[in-house]
Amino acid sequence: MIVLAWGLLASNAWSQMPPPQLFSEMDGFHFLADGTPLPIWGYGWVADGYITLPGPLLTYTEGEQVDLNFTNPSPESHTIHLHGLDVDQANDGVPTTSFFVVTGQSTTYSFIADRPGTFLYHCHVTTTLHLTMGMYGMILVTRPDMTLFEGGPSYTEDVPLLFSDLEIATNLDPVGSFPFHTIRPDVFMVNGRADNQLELASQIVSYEPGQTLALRLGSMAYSRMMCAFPPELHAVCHMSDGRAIPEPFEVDSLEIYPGERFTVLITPDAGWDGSIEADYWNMADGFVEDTQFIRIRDAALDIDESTGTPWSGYPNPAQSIIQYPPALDVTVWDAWGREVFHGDLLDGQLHVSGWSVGTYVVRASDGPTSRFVVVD
Amino acid sequence: MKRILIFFGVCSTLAMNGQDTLWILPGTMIQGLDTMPALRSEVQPTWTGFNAVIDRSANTSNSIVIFNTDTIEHTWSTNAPDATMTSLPAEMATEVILPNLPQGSYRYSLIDEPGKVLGAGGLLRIGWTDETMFYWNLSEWQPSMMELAGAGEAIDWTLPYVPRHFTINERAYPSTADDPNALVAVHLNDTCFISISNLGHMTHVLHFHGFHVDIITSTDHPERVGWNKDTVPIRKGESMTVRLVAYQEGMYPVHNHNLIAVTNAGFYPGGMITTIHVMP
Repeated sequence: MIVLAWGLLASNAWSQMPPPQLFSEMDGFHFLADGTPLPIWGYGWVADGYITLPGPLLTYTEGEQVDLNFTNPSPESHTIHLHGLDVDQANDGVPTTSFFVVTGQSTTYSFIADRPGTFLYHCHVTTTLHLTMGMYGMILVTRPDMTLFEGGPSYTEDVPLLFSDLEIATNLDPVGSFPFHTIRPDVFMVNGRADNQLELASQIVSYEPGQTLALRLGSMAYSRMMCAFPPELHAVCHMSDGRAIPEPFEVDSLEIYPGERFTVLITPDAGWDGSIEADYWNMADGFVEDTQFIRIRDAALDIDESTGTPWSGYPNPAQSIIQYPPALDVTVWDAWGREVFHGDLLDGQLHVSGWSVGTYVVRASDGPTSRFVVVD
Repeated sequence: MKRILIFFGVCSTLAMNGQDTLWILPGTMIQGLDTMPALRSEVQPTWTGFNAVIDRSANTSNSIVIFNTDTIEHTWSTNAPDATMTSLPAEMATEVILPNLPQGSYRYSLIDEPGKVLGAGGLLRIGWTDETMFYWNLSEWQPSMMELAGAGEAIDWTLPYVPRHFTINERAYPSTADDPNALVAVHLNDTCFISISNLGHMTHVLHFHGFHVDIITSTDHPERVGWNKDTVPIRKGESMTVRLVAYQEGMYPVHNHNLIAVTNAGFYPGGMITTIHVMP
């Protein structure tokens, strides 16, 4: 199992150093809305031992001296470009002007998080391919007093919303994905989720009446985003690309191009339950490729769990323990429909170490199903 | 004979009035293994493959003489407010009046179908005199479409648009490093300005490594003047001026963050990439 091999590497390489925080791998899986596992490359927390799409949210405090440790056990070189943080050349993460982090190598990116705002990070090696494979994430630099910036408006909670997309054919065959200029995404995501995944309770943005939420909107998509904000949200755009906008403006629709970020404050009406509509437009010919909905609802409203939305117990296969809610009675079948496990998970942990490589279907006693994949 | 006579006539006018002249030149654009028919607006009657920049003073009326050496008529215009269209008859010189314009960056181009597909157009810089200036004329190129336009055939704009080449000043990376206007080479703490125009048929999004830039003028995003950004979309047909304060040394890429546009015929890296080089 990947997690075991990784654990050995980490303990040896970092015995005399602070532990690495982020690692990169090229053998992860991401579940599409229909449950199909799709190969991804990406970043993950070393402590977790698996990669995710998008990569982990990195959060820092304004003025913080950041030493971001990164190690790359994957078969190819990678970097971390700190998009928008205006770091110096050495820490810029561009291999030709900074350096590659080759297989087995570790490094530290150092910078001062001197500006609050929304930023991004991504691999800058063969960028066109490595991004569509999933090597990106969001960075938030915030202030302890919960104002957007010095002298700026206050808010109660950050809501990161990272738009991205991918082309299934490329992820299935990254080596054969040439030529890159013909990449045309066919999966469109918000925080790595799409369609019914965005209806999961964990993905719904909930609020208390009177609360002001800071929507941290960023795009790593190939598409042009067009987001529509219903008037009940009372949305006001205050920042772009980690800088205050000279004249904040009320926003009913907002274009977000690849690499751009915006911070929009919303103070939704009490009792509201609705969505921000996010359209994905092809950059070259202007066709609308897809629409996703970011649901926002008053926390006092009951969440209707009877919609049949499958819960997601296991977002990534690169670990040997799958965490489910505790005291869950589950049954697991392999890809041929053979029952391979049935029982109560008192601690919610399903141990898959030693299981055969393949796809499995798991069903909880109360009905919903999900899938996971065991890899070498 | 007609062509030569008109040519000398234009030169004579130039000598008296100090007007600039543009030559609309048909030629061939070569990018990698692709060879495409193309048009350029050049400052001399011989083909180099690079569109000219027109510099003018602010708030004064100007004119420019355009010699259309092509065998078909074209239509010329700018993205300045209240811009008018001017017909350029084949193999004729035409004087075009430029209106009073405030300081800024604008685009001039051919706007008839073959003219806009074949890429004759560039920057019209107004009111920049003592500043350190660079310019980026952005475009993308689809060879099959250019072949049709060069043959005088109609373009079906409802088909998916899949350009194969992406250029700054008609150069694709790494050739952008050979262009002193694409490569921003400045000294530490210098302030410079970059005139940017989008000659292509899609929005281009420039991401600056190492720096945020101030948006000084914009034809399509006037509400963004005064914004300080690291990722700047320039819409189809838009022109913009940004200010860069080079506060840290080093070499920092600037590239299109629509990542299909950092390729040459699908090869990475290529296309719309250049560099900011800040020297001590």
